[in-house]
Amino acid sequence: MKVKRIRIWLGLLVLAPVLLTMTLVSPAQAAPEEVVFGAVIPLSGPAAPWGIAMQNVWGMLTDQINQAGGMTVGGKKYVWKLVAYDSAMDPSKTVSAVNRLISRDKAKFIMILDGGLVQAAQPITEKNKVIVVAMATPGKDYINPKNHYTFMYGMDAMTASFLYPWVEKNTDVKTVALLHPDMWTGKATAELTRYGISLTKLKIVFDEFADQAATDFYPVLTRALATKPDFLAVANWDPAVGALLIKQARELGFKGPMHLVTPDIPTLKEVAGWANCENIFLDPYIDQPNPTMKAFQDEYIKRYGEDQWPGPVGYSMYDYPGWYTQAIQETQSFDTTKIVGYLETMKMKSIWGEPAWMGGKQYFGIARVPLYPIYIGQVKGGEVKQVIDGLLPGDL
Amino acid sequence: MALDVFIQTILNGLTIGAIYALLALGLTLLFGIMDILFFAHGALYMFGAYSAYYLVVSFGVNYVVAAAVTLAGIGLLGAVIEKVLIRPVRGEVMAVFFIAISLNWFLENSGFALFGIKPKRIPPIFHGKVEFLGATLTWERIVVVLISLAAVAALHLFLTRTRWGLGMRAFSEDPETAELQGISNDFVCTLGFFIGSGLAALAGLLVASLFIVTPTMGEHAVLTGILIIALGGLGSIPGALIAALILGFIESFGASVLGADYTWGPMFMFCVIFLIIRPTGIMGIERS
Repeated sequence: MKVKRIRIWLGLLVLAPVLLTMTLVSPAQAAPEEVVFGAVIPLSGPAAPWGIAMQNVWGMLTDQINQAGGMTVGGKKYVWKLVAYDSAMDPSKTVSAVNRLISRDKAKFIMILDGGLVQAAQPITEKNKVIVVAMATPGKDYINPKNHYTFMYGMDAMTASFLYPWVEKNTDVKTVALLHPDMWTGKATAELTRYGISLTKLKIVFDEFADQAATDFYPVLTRALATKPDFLAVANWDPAVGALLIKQARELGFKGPMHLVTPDIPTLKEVAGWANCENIFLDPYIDQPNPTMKAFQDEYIKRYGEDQWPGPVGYSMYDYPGWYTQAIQETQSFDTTKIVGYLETMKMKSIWGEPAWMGGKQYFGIARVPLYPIYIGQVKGGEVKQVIDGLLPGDL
Repeated sequence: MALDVFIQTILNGLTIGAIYALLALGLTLLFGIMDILFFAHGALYMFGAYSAYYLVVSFGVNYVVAAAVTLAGIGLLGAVIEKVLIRPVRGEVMAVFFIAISLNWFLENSGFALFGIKPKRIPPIFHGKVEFLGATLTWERIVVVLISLAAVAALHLFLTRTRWGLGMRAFSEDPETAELQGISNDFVCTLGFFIGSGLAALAGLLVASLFIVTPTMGEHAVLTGILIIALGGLGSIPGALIAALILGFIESFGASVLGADYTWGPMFMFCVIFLIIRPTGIMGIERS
């Protein structure tokens, strides 16, 4: 009897700390639940540099959000988990990856690179009310009232709507040659550029598409420059290809201004040669990166290496992990219909400055394009001058 | 078409054709001698470009020295590939085919890890340009055209006038009889890969100052090379040169006259029609 009592007391002594710990550990301190953010991006093939950069940016930013505490919804902790699949820029692979993200990984948010691939996925994502972040140039084919859950990542070539009125007012340019990459981004850029020029009296003398994978652009540029344009728009080519176009246009004798979207100055200097960049409009360009941009770039380079930094386009990928986290926190919900409704009116901060908001209702019929201050530079005398400095876009 | 645009279009075609000839040369050699369609040729072309880039830009090596080191280095790499990967399956067409494709994918993806995602370019070695009747041609392009033509001529002379070259041709005709005559099949194949890979590297280091250097630059190059060797006649070096020039002019005139979209389409259509009429290509011969 005495031995039995001793055993009971000993057992209680062993169990007591365990029971105490269990009662003190609240549900919120249990491992947070993961919320999948899917990515269907090229991780192989010629477009892999873009996909790898996106994966890196998102990976880093979601880690930062998670380390800062993640999200709390309904008293429960959640963290982001990035799940990426290789689209190889192929529509059928994209659709398979999207299906896998939705059915197996339970993703409610997916980023997809390229407007054509976004369109391939939209029948599935819209049906499943999955929010898509289109990493592409805004295009009416995929940004329209029928696609309620598709958002753009940023303004991209919509800035053309503001550049051309500036060019008309501040330069002697009268005629413009447009050379677009032969892909969905190019098609969307072409629409936006033509729209921007339609707001002016400038005349388009050349307007064609060329193969992005071409090695030598002399034949195409010979044709474009035969129309004797004052201005050559090579917007939205891959930054290195854009730089090559600039170099070759200068070799063929073109001396006028050019427009390049998503420029990377080290790439321009290396591929085009800085002397050839005189008179080029760099869009976006900010001559004094703000502390957020500096911190982001430094952290990215520290984590992945200088050679992996994608240039200023990296800044444009910065905002939306934070925006979606904010929307979830504010709505206290993962219901994507609620989140979409909130995003339409959400007051946002952008790495490019404030204010930022979802716009595009006038042009696209639905507010799905983040609008924020615009910064465009022009190379003059070997230096980049800020010609458009924090211009608020107004709605489009 | 204005005269200056016409002249520019001809010069563009000549340059593109010469570059295509250089791209196809190594592939032509390997196919002509060993019946191997070496898909990894594009990856070696890419490695040649990066090798020249890092030697010249990062280490400040003189361009000519960098070229020599690159040619020897990539040539040796090709020789090692032959000895380790190809020789054990020599004669097994599908095995060689899949090894070459797999090797190409492996090397291309290794390129991203080794060299990063940022495209590169070697600064121009030759500056300035020449103007002719309103058309322009940079000295860089002139040098590339001259070296391409010289490489084609040198390879042709090697195969027709040197002992080793004749040995390689004997091997391609009949490996067993060549072996009986004292021509080592292993040596011929290794030499073939050394030279073929060296030619891929030569193409890469020359275009590294003209265009951009990326880990995927080889894809386009190898497809163009295959088109050229098919059109030129499988294994024919003069045929490859003629085919390259024809395709260069089609690309140039297609883009300049018809539109930027009319490059690959007319090239492929021409190849298809020509090969239907003459399946052996421009200078190919019937093979048993």
